[in-house]
Amino acid sequence: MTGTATPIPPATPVAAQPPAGFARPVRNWIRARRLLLGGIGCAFALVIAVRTLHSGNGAFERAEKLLVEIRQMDARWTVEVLSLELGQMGNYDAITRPVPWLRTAFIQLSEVTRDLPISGIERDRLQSLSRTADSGIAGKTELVERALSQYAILNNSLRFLPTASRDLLQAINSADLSVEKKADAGALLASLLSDTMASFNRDDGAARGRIEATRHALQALVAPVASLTPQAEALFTHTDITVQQRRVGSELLDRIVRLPTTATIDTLRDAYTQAGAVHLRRESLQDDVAVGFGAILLILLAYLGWQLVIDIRRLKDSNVQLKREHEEAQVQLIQSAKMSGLGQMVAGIAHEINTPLAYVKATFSVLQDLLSAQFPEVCAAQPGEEPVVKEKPSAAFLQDIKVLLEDGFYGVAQISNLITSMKNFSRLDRTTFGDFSLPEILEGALTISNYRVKHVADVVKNFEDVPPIRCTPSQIGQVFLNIVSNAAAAMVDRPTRGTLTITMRMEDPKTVRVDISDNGTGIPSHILPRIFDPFFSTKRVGEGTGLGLSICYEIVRNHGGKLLVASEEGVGTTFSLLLPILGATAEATERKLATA
Amino acid sequence: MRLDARRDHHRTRRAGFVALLCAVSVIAWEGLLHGQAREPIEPIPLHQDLDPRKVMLGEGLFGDPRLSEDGKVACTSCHLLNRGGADVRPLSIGAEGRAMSVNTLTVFNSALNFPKNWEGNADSLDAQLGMVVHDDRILNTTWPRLIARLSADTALVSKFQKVYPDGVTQATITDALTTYEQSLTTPNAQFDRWLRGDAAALKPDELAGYQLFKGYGCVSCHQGVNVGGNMFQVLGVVGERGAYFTARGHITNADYGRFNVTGAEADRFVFRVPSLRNVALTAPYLHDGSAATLPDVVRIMFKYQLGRTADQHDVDLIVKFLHTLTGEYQGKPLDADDPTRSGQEAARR
Repeated sequence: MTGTATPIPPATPVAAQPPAGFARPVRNWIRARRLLLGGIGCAFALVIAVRTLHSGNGAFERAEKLLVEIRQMDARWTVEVLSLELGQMGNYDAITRPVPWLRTAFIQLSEVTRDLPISGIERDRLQSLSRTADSGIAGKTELVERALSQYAILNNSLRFLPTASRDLLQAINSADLSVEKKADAGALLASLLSDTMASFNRDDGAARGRIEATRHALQALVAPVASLTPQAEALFTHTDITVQQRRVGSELLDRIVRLPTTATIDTLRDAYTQAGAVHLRRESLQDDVAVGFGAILLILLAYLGWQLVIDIRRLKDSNVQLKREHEEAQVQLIQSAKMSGLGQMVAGIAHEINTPLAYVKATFSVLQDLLSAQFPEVCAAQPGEEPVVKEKPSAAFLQDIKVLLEDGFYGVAQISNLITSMKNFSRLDRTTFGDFSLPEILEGALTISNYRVKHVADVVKNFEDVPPIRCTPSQIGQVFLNIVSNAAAAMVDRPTRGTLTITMRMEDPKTVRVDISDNGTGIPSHILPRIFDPFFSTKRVGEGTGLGLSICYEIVRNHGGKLLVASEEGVGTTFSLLLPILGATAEATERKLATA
Repeated sequence: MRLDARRDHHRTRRAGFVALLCAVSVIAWEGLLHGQAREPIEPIPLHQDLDPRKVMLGEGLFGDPRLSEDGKVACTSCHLLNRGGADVRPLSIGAEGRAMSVNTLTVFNSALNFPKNWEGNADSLDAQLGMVVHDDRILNTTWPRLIARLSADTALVSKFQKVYPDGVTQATITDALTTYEQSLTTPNAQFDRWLRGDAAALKPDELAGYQLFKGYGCVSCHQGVNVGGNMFQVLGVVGERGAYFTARGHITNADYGRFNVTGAEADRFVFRVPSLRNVALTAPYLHDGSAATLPDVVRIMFKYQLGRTADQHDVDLIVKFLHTLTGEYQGKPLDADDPTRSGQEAARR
């Protein structure tokens, strides 16, 4: 009976999990140190960031420089405005130009203040102080503008006064007036002119009263003469303008001089200087803290470095030890798996031998029966006693015996065959390494596991010609035995007989591929990645060690090959063995078996 | 510590006072020594250091009617560069056909004025531009709308981005326009050449006109590099307050001048003294555009500002001097393109 052939999914590689590296406390320590290092890095970055942010980029220096310039410009401006008093007719650009300059300077100061590394309250205080100074400048500008207008008029009138006096004098001289009156008018005119001119330099109430009196006397004198009116009007107008503008002008200049702009600017400068000093103190404190913090970080870093050196040394030691222990453990594993394999084998062999043995026994029993029926005296004879044969054995009797003996030999030959197989397979304690025929190894494994397979499945073999491969045959046999046993176990629960399909072909000119497919229960996909893990088993406790496949994996890897598995639940499982023809090295296998 | 500070303060103040005295003395001495030699007017600098790319961008914007809400008014609508940078109309007509309340001042050399405008209501070209943008009689718009209109022009935007990484913004538009305005100076006038020592630059009549300009006192207000434009003065120095306006009739709010800005009674009828640079090309004159010719305005100035009468001969000589204040723009005399120049010349003779 042959089970229905089921398509087997293509083999996909499932890598074995690497051995779990370090113990948990060691891993925790490594993680903690990594965190600590990250923390130190962050702290350093923070220190640098704080230092950069708080450096202020020389904003204080810029503010101080601006304030010095503002103060100088304001002072120069005052000087220019005061020079109006000197009566120098000229170019007022020097008086006007400081205004836009100062306006721009205060805008710049406000912008610089915005960049200052100070608190919001402090900044508001400075801004408010500088607004005060700025509005002080604005007030001064207004006064200066008015003063300019006044002095322009004043200068004009002053310049015109001599001309106007001369014109009036000429008119008086040619007018219809008495000589006395002409003389009086001339005297009054001279006094008015000199007093008015003088008032430019010395302006006081007395002078103003004198001018007023003279003006009235002169007016009374010339008023009756109509022809003098225009000249007199011109003179009086400009006299009035001179006196009035002089008063207004000097008042304005007085107010300008008394303006507290310089003091306001000085206060402002003091405030900035103070804020700068406070900032400098705070910054140097921050510097100290940052340096101290940096030093602590450096010490911590050095400590960590030292710890790292110690750890590396310790890790190296434990690595060597682990490697040694790992090798010992592996050897022991293989050994224990071997013992388990031997146990299975003994069971298998015993079962296998039983059949031919029973056959031989039956043959011998028939032979004995035949003999005792024909020659009872021979059978009844005591040991050491010569039996008396009454008659010659018949030809038919001899023929029967011959057949029976042949049957017995056949049975013995079968047992002998089995023993040979077992011997081939059990050369475990001999380091055999060389070129061996893969089909022979496979046949041996099949023979040994036959007692398990024959009841559950038919074996279909598709062997192509493959060259011998360099290997340790007992190990490769163990792999086959393991896989075939697993396959048989997987097919036990099938309602019908299963099929174990074994194909052997060349994967490529250097590699032999053996696929062992069953149509058993398959391996659940969540288990599949773990089947090569050591101590992983789905069998009940006592039925398996959980080491079989992990050792298979190890053996194949040692031979430079690959062990792949593909499985689908309810469909079947395929193990694929890829073995390079010249893969294994004597050293690799020898090392594994040195202590086995 | 505090006492020391106070002592220091006193010392500083005393030193400041002495320095002030010294400075005043030096200026006085300089005045005495060089008073005659130094003229109250100085020449316009011959060269400026401006970014030519910004000037070019600003020039484009200056003639761009998209600056205005109705797309009809450009800066050049009222600042005619071939008419001395001002308007030939007494009052310019801007957005929606609305008339301005004062005569348009020339844009030439406006960077040299401080403050700006007749009322002195702008401290800078930036501030002046901001007022022009929002004034409902001029551009009648807002910055976001103006920027939106200009941003629709991808060619213009890419031109801007080559000069200003920020592209078209209020700051960059303002910078381009004011940079262009700064480039609009007219150096090398006949009179400037004379100031620089070229005695032959002025004809005898023109020189006589300048001496009268100084002698009568015109120069008291019209001085400095811009021959004015740096101070305020009341219109009507002599006589009754507002006499000029009473004589002219129908006083408007604009006639109050700086009073409209400060609200100070002393500022009623006060205006910023206009620059006389290129004055021969910027008729009509005064804030109300009421004076059609130079002789007219000179006579008004004589009457209301100087409180004097001048004979026709003196007025003519002063007008001849005023013609020597016409400068050059981009190396060409400013009146070279003026179609009315020959007519004016004829009228002058």
